[in-house]
Amino acid sequence: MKAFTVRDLHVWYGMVHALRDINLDIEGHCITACIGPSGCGKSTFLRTLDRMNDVIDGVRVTGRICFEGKDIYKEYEAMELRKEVGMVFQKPNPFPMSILDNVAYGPRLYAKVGKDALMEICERSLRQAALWDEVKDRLHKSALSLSGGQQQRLCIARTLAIQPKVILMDEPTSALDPIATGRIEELMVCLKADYTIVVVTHNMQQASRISDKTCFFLIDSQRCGFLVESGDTSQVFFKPKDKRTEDYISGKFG
Amino acid sequence: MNRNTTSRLAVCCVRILSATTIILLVAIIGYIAFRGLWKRERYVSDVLPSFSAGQQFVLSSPRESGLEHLSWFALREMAMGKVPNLRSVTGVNEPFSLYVTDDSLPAFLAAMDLTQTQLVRRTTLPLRPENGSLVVSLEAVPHERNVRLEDKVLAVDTVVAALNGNRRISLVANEDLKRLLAGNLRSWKELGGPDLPVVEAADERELQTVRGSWMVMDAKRWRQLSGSDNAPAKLDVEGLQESRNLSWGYLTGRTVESGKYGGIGTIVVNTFFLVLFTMLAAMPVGVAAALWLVEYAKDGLPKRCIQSGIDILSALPSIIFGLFGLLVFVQLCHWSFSLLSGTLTVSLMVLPTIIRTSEEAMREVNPNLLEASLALGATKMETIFRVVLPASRRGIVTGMILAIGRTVGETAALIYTIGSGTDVPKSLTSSCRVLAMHIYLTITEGQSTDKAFASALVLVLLVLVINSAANRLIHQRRH
Amino acid sequence: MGYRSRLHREQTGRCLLLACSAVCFCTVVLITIFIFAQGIPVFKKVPLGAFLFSTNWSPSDAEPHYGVFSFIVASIVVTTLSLLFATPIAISTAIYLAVFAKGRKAAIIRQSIELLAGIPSIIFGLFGIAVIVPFVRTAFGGNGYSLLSASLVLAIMILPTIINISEVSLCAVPAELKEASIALGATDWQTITRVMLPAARGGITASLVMALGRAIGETTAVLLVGGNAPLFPESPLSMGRTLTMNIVTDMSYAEGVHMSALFATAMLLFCFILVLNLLVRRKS
Repeated sequence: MKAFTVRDLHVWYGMVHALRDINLDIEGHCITACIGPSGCGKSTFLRTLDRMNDVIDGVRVTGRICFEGKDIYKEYEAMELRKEVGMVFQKPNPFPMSILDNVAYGPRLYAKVGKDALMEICERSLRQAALWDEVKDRLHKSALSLSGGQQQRLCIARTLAIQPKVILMDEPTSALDPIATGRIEELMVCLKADYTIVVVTHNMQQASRISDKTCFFLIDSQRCGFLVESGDTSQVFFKPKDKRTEDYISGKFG
Repeated sequence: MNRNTTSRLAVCCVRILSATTIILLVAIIGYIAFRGLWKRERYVSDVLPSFSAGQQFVLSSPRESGLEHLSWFALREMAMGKVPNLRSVTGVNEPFSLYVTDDSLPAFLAAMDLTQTQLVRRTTLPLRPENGSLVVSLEAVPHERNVRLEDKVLAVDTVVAALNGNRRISLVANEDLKRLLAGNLRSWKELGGPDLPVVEAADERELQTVRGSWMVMDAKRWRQLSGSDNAPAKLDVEGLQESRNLSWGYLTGRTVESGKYGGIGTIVVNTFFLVLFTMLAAMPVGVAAALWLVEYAKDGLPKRCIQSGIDILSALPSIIFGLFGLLVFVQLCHWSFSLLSGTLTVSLMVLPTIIRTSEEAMREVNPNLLEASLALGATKMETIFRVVLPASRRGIVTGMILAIGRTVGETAALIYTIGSGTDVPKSLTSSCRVLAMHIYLTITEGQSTDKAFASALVLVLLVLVINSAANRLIHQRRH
Repeated sequence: MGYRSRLHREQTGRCLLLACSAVCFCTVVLITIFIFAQGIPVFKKVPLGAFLFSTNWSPSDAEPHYGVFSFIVASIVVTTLSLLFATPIAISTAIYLAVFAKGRKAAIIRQSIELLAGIPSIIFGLFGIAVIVPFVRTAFGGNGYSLLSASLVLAIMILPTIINISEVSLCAVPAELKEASIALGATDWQTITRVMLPAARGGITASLVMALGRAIGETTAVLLVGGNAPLFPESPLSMGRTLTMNIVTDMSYAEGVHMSALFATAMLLFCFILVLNLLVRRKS
C-alpha cells in the first residue's frame, strides 16, 4: 500500500500561493527524496504531510492527502497523525533535559510507562539511531552536551521512540559536518527496512546516493512551487522525462 | 481521546483564569466609581420624611447651606437659639441665624408652639443671600431655596414602644414604614415589638385607648400631649438617603477641620506641588545618572556598585524610605514635617524608575549618530546634549510620567515626613497633606467613608490618566 | 581658547554625572547606616533571641517586652497565602498571553495588567475594607478584618509582578523546542507543562521572589484590612499585625527603646529584602 497519496494539493500562506497542483504517491518502505532549488516549497510540502503547517497562522491547505488510505484532515486528529508520522528538523533541537528524558518524552505523552519499559524503549531507539554505544554510559547527562551530529541522531532516536510508520526529514544534514552527514545517511538507509522515509534535501549527491524515489520541485514565475516530475531515482537522474529536470540535475541552475 | 480532552479542559481553565485580571480591574475601578459618585447615607429622622402640611409661612435658605428639609423639632430648637452652628444639622460649618419677617411672625409662633419671648431672631433685614441662614417669610424670597418643613410624627400607643423582654422598638426602617402606611403590617412583632395587632387609630382618643394603635399626628400636637398621662410615644424613621457623592464643589472646596467638612481642593493643590517639586528634584539627578551609566561607565567596580545600588533601591519597600526620611530630613536636618522632607523622600523612591526608563531610551539611540557627532569634533558632553538627550526625549518623558504616577499614589513614605496640614503650604517647610494620605487619614480617623470614596475616585481617575498617558507613549515607541 | 573651555566643561560635566549616579548607591549606604544605627541599641536591652522569637510585644508595660515573633509569623502567613492565591491566576494569564492570545484580546489583558499595577495601595486598602472584609465576614464568620483579607488584597496587588516576568520568560522559550514537542504528537497542554514551563522555570521563580519582596514590604493596604492586633495569629482568620504594620502603628508615639525596637524591625525587613534581591540576581 502506498504510504501517502497526494491529490490536487494547494498551499497558501495568507495571500501568497506557495504550492500548487501537487499530485504524487509516496511508496512505503523506501526513501523518497524531494529536491529542488531554495524556496520552491519542498519544506512546505513536507510539513503538510504531518500537518505541522497547522501551527502557523494563516495557512490554508486544499486538496486531499491520504495516509494509508485515510484522509489526514478528515479522518485523523493532528496528534494521532503525528504519532504515525514523525519529523526530524534541519537544526537539531533536543530538549534541555537528559538524553534519557529526551528519548522518553514521546512515549511518556501517550501512556504511563514503567521504568524498565522506558529503558527498553530508549535502548532500542538509541540503537536504531546508531547512538547507543556512544551515550550508553551517560544517559542522564544533558543532551546539550552532545556534538551536533550526535544531537541530530538523538532527535532521530526521539522520533523513533514513538514508533511511527513514516519519518519526515527536513534537510537533516545541512547543519552537520561531512562525517556526521555520512553517518546519518547510513542510518537512513538502515531505517528504510522498517520505516518509510521522506527527505527534503538540496544536496543532489545525497539524494542520488540514498533515495529510491525522487520528486523534483520548481518555482514558477509567480513564485509558486510545483512538482515537475517524480519517479524512481535512477530514472529521474539519468533519464529525466522533463527538460527542466535535466537542466537542474546537470547543474545549469539550482 | 483522553489526552485531547485533558488538554482542552486545561486550556479552558487557563482562559477562564486569565480573564480574572480584567474582571478584578473592572470590579475595583467600578466599585470605587460607584461609591465615589453615589453615596447612601443612613439617617434617622424624628419626623416622617416628606410629610408636611400646608404652612402659612415659607422657609428659605441660601443655596449653599445644604438645608433642604428640616424637622419640626429641629426648627423649634433653632428658633429658641439652641443651635449656634449649622454643622449639627447639615454638616457644613456655618454660623446660624434665623430671620423672621414681621408679617409672618404670628403664624410662625403659632405653628411652632412658641411664645415671642422664647424666640431668638434677628429683626427684618433687606433679605439677601449672604445675611440669612434661614428666613421665615410669607412669600418665597427670590434666588433662595425653599426648605421643606416636616412636621408629622408617627405616634403610637405607649405599649408598642415599651420594653418587650429586653428589646424595644424606637426606629422604623423606611421600607417597613411604607408597609405600615399601606396597611400591610399585621403585627408589631414583625418589627421586633410586642405581639399586638397593628391598628390605625382614627383620632387621638383611639390612639390613647386602643392597644397597638398608631396614627400620623402633627408634631406640635404630639409635643403638647407628651407631658400628660397616657401620652402617645413616637417612633423615629430610619432610612437610606441616596445622593450624589463626588461633586465639583467637593473637588474644589477648601478643606475644613482636617477633612470632616469641606472639600479636597487644597489637597489636590498640595498633591500638585508635591509632584512638581519631586520632579524638579528627581529628574535631573535621574537623567544624569542614566547618562553616566550609558555613555561613560566602564565595566568595573564603580559601575557594578552603582547598578546594585539602583537595583536595591528599587526593591526597598516604601516604609523604609519613610523611616529614612524621618531620621534624616525631619530630625537630622531639622526640617520637621514639611513638604521639603516629603519631596526629598519621594524623590529617592522614584529615582530608580526614572533611571531605568531613561537608560533604556538612551541605549536605543543609534550609535552611528554618536560617531558622526564625535567625528565632527564635538566633545562627549556636547554630543550628549545635542544628540542623545533629544533622541531619547520620549523615553525620559515616559519615565517621568511613571514616576509621577508613583508619587501621586504614595502613602507609607509620606506618613512620617510630610505632615498632615490641610492648607496650601506657604513655604517648603510647612506641612501639607496630599491626596493619598488624605484618604488614609480619613479612613483611620474614622470619618465618613463616603468622603474617602469620593477622594479615592479622584485619585483613581488621576492615576488612570497618568498611566494611560505613559502606556500610550511606551507603545508608540515600540512601533 | 574655546577648545580649553569646552574640555573644561566636559570634565566638570563628567564629574557631575558621576556624582548623580552615585546618589542611589550612597542612599542605600546611608539608609543602612541610619536604620542600623537606630535599631542596634535595642539589642543592648533585649537579647536577639528574645527579640526574634518571643511573642510578647508589650512596650507600654511597666516591664516592657519587645518580641516580634507574632509579627514575623503574621508576615509569613500573609505573604504565603497571597502567593498561593495569586500564582495559579498569574501563571495561567502568563501562559494565555504567551501561547494563545493574539491581537486584541492580548492587548486588552495587557492593558488591564498595566493599569492594575499602577493603582495605589491605598485604593486596594479601601476596596478591601468595603468589599473583601464583608465577604470574609459572611463567608467565614468572625470579624472580617483578618490575615486572610490582607492576603486576598495582597494577592491582587502582586498579580501584575508575577504575570509580567513569567510572560517574558515563557515567550523566551525557543520556538524549535515547541515545534519538536508538537511534531512528536503532544497536545497543547502537554507541550506547555512538559516543555515550556520547565524551560521558563528560572524566570517564573524570579517573578515569585520579586512578588514575595513586594508583598512583605506592603504597608498601607494590609494596615487597613489586617486587624492590627499584636497577638500571635492562631489562624488565617484571626486579626494580626505584620512587621510593616507594627512599624507604622507605633512610630507616632514611640520613644527610646521602643523606637529602637521599631527600627530593629525595619532592619529585619531590610535584611530580608536584601537577601531576596541577592537571590534573584544570583539566578540571573
